[in-house]
Amino acid sequence: MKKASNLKSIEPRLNVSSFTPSEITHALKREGIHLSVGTYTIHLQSAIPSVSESISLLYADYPLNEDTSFADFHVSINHPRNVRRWIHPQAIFRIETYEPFKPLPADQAYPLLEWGLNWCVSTQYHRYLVVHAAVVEKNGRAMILPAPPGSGKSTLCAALVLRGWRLLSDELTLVSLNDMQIVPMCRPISLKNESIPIIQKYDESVTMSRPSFDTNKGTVAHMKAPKESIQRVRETAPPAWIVFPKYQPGTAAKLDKFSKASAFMGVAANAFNYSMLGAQGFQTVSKLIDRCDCYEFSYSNLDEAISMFDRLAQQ
Amino acid sequence: MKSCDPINRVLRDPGACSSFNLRQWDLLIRQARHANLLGRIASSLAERQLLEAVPDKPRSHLEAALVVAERQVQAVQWEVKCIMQALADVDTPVILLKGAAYVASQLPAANGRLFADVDILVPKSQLDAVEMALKLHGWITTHHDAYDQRYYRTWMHELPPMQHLTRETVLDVHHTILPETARLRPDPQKLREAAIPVDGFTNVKVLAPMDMVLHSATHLFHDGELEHSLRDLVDLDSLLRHFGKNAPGFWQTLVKRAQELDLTRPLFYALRYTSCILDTPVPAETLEAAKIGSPSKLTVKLMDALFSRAMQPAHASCGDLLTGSACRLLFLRSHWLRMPPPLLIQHLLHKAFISPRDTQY
Amino acid sequence: MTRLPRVLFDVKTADTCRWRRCDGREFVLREWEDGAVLYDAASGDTHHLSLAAAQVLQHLHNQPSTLEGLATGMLSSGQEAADGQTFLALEALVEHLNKLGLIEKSIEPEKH
Repeated sequence: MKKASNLKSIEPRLNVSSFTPSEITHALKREGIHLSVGTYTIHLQSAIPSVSESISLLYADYPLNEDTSFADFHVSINHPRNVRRWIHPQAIFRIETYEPFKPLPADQAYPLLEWGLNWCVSTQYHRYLVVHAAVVEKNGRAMILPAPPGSGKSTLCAALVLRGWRLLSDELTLVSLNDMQIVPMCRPISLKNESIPIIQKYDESVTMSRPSFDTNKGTVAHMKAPKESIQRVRETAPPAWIVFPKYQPGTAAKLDKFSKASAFMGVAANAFNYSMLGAQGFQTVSKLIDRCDCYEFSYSNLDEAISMFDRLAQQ
Repeated sequence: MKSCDPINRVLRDPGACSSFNLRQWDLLIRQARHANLLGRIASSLAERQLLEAVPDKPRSHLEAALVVAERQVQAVQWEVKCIMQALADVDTPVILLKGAAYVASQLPAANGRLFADVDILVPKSQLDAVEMALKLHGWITTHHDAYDQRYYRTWMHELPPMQHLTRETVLDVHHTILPETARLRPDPQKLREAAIPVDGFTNVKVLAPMDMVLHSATHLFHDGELEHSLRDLVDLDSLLRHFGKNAPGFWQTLVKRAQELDLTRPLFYALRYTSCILDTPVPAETLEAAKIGSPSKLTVKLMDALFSRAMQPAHASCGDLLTGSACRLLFLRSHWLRMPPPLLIQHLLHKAFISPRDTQY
Repeated sequence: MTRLPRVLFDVKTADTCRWRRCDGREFVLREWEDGAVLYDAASGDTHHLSLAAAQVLQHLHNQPSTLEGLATGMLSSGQEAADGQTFLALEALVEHLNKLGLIEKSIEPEKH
């Protein structure tokens, strides 16, 4: 592996792409790698080839920490030690020795890792209000898209970042409790079922992981975050809009003002640690609602949706 | 044994962390999280104004643990209010046990502690009325398996755990502090007579300081919940330090009270292991007097070997080859202490052949 | 409020029953132009309230009151007296707040 040593001040930080896939596979299998994802560091160990393949592909532009003294989350994804290993291989996600989920078929190892990392952030990262929402930025202002699964949030998010919006996060929005800024974490975007071919057609240059079939969410694939979003992952953004999207086949895009009190409840219901934060959670969501214009949005056509959001960003 | 340096050092002396490098912080946070002690360590650093000086990365995890702990204290207080409301019409004294008692009486042992459930003690004669009232107010019995029901009701010292339908909180209703079948038979009536009221709560009591310590010791050394053993030892340490300083005559009468309640053995272990492992300042005379509860020298040696391993956080950095077997032996021992042998065999057989129904693979 | 009270408004019961905010409880209220949210510090629950419900709660915060007192206190300056419809709505509101555990029947004796 390359050493930065005395060139540190001149040479940029080492990224995953500074190494060959086989070097990454080797490191992952043994002591693991320290991956820097915005505000946190993941120590990841895995002996599963599909995981290392996806890491080399989707995390190519993320910095690898040479300083391995501290990681926020020590996780691994491996084959569980049991007889099934030889018949129906499985993958198990562990944070240290703890196993928050049941093992899944080995084909789903990489999505399981992404879900596991979401679990880590949403259960252990209470310096932020963690909202189940996509968040994107344009002209220095962030748009939060909270939504239950199936609302088309991730598809919309993927399309927006392919048309010039900056990806802050596709799944978990981190709102800083101190200054109400949105803190990016910018991991790959999770796409399901028919969204996968839609997004592939939407931009043919998009980088996508090999799909995993028959997960409990159907077919799942992850799209690589744009390089520019990853490079700007340290840049926070103030929240300006909260938009509750809803995919409605055959309808024209429609943006309606949403009651602030209802938006409050919508954000609170989608925030993993809202109740954990107690009075501070209430204050934080209140401030968030005060600072944002709140909308309900229904759409069926992505281009229409994006031009509507672009107009919003111009105002 | 591999080194458990950071967590043991910080539990003995929170100030020790001021010299930690990032690698030691990394290990401390992992060990503490696994021992359910991250909140406790965070709050002891916060109390000493040491949190500010912690490097940003580990501090974010400590602060997160404080948030969780504070919310849990609020939740326990609310839960106690709800339980008392449900039991308002049952004319019976209710005594809070363990964590809920520490929260209600605002003891330092509550600071940064995590809670799995609320435990209450009611007279055996009132069990049915209490269960009925709780069911009327939204609690349901969680163990539906007929064997589990009988295990709790016939042989144990509690109703099967109850869970609230909407809040999903778990409540354990005890009628004594050890199972009916156990070899030690502390008289619950004596505990009730000595129980003391709690400021800010009506109709609620907690065990008197000495009884609270003895109960905590009995729970840890005779009740077999070893996954939290280091956490429980830290509870004991905190209670001993607090009452030793604030409850008049505490150290002088502790052993005598243990004799009255037939609990000298757990007290012996409690004082031995808190002072050994956590440097708890137990006066020499009390340590000496507690030897009345000591088993034979050989047994003490064996227990030292078992407990010093079981008292480590369940983290890979802290185990050696023997940790697993020490925990299994202690689990067996705690069952041995709770049930006479024929019952024990019946129970283990049942668990061995019936329980793995949930196991995947 | 969508649910209507089961029985018609009874002036007699309303007259004698006073409501107050639950004892020793700390609430944080945020109002916007189209609704309000309330944080109950004791239970940790958050409630979505109509502006009218928020107003009732604030009114009871200042002093315990009968339904009639509430109706009079909450009338906008132009109105002279509460009609039956208003009373029904108010009763439902009060019942709703009671169910949420935010207000309770006052036990202090009537001063008549």
